[in-house]
Amino acid sequence: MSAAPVAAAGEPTVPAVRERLGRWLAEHSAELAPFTELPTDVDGVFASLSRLQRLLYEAGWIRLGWPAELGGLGGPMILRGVVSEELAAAGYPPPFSFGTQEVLGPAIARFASPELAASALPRLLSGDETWCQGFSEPGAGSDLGSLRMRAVDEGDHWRVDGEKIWTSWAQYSDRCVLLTRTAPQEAAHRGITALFVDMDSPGITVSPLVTMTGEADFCSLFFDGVRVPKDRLIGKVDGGWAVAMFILGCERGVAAWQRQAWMRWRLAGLVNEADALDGARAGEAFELVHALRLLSRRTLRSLSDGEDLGVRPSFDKLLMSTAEKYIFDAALEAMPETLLFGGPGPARDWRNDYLYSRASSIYGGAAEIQRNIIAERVLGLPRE
Amino acid sequence: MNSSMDAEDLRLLRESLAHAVTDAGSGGLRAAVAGFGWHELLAEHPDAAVSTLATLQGEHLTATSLLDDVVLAAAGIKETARVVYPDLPAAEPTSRLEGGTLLVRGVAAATGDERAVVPAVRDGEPVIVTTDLTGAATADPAAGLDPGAGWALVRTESRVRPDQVLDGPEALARWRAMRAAGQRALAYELIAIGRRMLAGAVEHVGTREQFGRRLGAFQAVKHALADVRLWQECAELAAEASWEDDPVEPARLAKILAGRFVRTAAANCQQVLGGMGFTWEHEFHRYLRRGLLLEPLLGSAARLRADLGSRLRTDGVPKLSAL
Ligand SMILES: Cc1cc2nc3c(=O)[nH]c(=O)nc-3n(C[C@H](O)[C@H](O)[C@H](O)COP(=O)(O)OP(=O)(O)OC[C@H]3O[C@@H](n4cnc5c(N)ncnc54)[C@H](O)[C@@H]3O)c2cc1C
Repeated sequence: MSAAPVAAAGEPTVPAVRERLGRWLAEHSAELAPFTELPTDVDGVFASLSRLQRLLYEAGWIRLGWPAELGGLGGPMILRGVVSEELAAAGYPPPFSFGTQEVLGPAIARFASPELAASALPRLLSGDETWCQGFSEPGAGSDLGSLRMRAVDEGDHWRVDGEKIWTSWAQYSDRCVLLTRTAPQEAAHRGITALFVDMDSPGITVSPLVTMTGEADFCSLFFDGVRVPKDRLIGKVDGGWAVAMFILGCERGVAAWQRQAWMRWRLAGLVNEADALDGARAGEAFELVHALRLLSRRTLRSLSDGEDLGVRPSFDKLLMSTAEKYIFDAALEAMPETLLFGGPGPARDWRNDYLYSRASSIYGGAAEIQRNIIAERVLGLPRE
Repeated sequence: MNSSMDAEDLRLLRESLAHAVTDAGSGGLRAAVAGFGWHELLAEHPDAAVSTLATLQGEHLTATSLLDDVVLAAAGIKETARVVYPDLPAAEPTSRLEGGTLLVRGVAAATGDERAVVPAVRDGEPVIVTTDLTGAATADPAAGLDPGAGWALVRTESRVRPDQVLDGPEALARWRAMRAAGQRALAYELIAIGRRMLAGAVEHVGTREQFGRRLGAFQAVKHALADVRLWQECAELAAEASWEDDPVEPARLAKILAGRFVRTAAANCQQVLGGMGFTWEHEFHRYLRRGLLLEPLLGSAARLRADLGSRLRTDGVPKLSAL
């Protein structure tokens, strides 16, 4: 770790960081040139992103807003929302790996033992490691509380057996935040424990699954007698539900903010590239991205101020999928030839992003689940 | 909201304005708020004044609108006057200045000052004309979908002298300020209307039972109202955010999202209210009427999206609402 990263040389406020980062990006444009275009195949993306991440980490930009004891440079959490936007403004695609980090990183910071957090987080932030999220199982999707992967207490370790599915990018991952069952099935969500698992532990089989984009964007995982040391507990035994809910909340926090920055960047590209884009469609796409930005900004500010979010992030999640699908529907409508017949390069990006956007109302809590939450817990309608 | 007033003052303001509006009864709104120091408030704390009063107008479906005051204040025009807004659903002036003749085509308060401020177009450029509406033909305000709203179509012609016409960059700047202020105020009013529709629907499906369950326990009903609630959340945030940045784009977006909210509320709330909501007696149709009338004023959501789209094409995607 260099002694005085450039990111720390100044005020830790949003406008000051934005200004410094903008300057730094301009000064380093030669070094950053390879990142103006990201490959769309997953292998290429991961390789390219970890190099970019390394650069940003060394300069300190992606350490801002994280506490010093976890490898950060301190300052309010809201600083973590600045980097993606400034990258996009300077013409670099905002890396979605920041999203993954923002989903899992905060949970380790909050629920893991201080020693575990201090050793694990710097490796995530620096891009040395990739983590994955092992929640869903073949029998437990929307009804996550019914999951069955067992963790049995064997004295100095847990013994884990069972199956996970749809685990995004597990084939590139060094660790997994895993939800396991530690109490009888009837205990449902009250009998779940979260563990931090090394993906190279003996007994784990990772099988990449090709998604409908044609890329192996997720995997299935088999655990056969996997030993997980006791100090890898995240949160409390049988208290994993709180960790899971916190993580789903983070998906709607800084991660959602990164996503809206990415959507805005995609929309700007669409407006530029597609002459046939209908004006009202473009306007409506911007309307949705603007609304998402406002929801997400509120969530981010609340998180940064340590306020309780309640169920509000369900709005963010529901709008996130609405906006993302809308943008790529508009892209398909405006550039059918590119999307449907175009070769590699930008055409392939549009095609992949179009296809991936179809999942946005499924993963991380389906749109129907968000509507149920809004109806029951915001409007006070009778429970199911 | 990050108001220019503190929370306690804002609460007191809401309370006393609410009393003024309720006590004013039909037609008395202008006098009631004038006694309250409305114009000073509008000058000093436009955010608090507009958000509070426009919301009350929506909740109470007032017979008079103070939109003109808001719009004139934003343009720095001190005298009272009626404003002639563009014909529905446009957001650009539809009145025209041709030679020395002003062709007034728009929507204005049915009654009020004879003096009028008319944003118009001359050779494709906006101008602002001050004129007199005495004897002007306004369509019968007692006809139409929402006669109680006090709005009427204006169709008239008059000769104007050059000193009645403001043109050039100043006119453009004023027109933009007027439009943004109007869109913002209408956004608050529409939001209040949508909220009333939603509250009525939630109350209904939370009590009425069919098939042995409360209607609100059916997922189709829940989801229809959850969608309305989502757009409410977005519209409210957009209205608040319209006080940041240069107001032209944020105000347009606030109006678009308020329009989306009120339209979704109109459709989905009406559906779950069933036959009850279709009666004259039920309050729903009164909110529906006002919503339908105000949504296209200063630009329907559909029209504004198209305008926004062409702006994106020429100027790129604007940077709004910084972190
Ligand atoms: C691209 C992608 C990436 C993913 N990445 C991960 C990951 O990294 N880690 C991980 O753990 N999981 C991941 N998932 C899994 C994801 O979280 C689940 O797909 C999601 O929770 C839904 O579960 P399911 O697929 O089993 O669908 P089901 O639960 O079987 O539901 C199918 C559909 O039924 C409807 N539905 C379900 N329940 C209700 C209800 N109560 N009311 C009304 N309708 C309902 C919804 O439309 C839903 O989409 C990913 C999924 C996708 C598509």
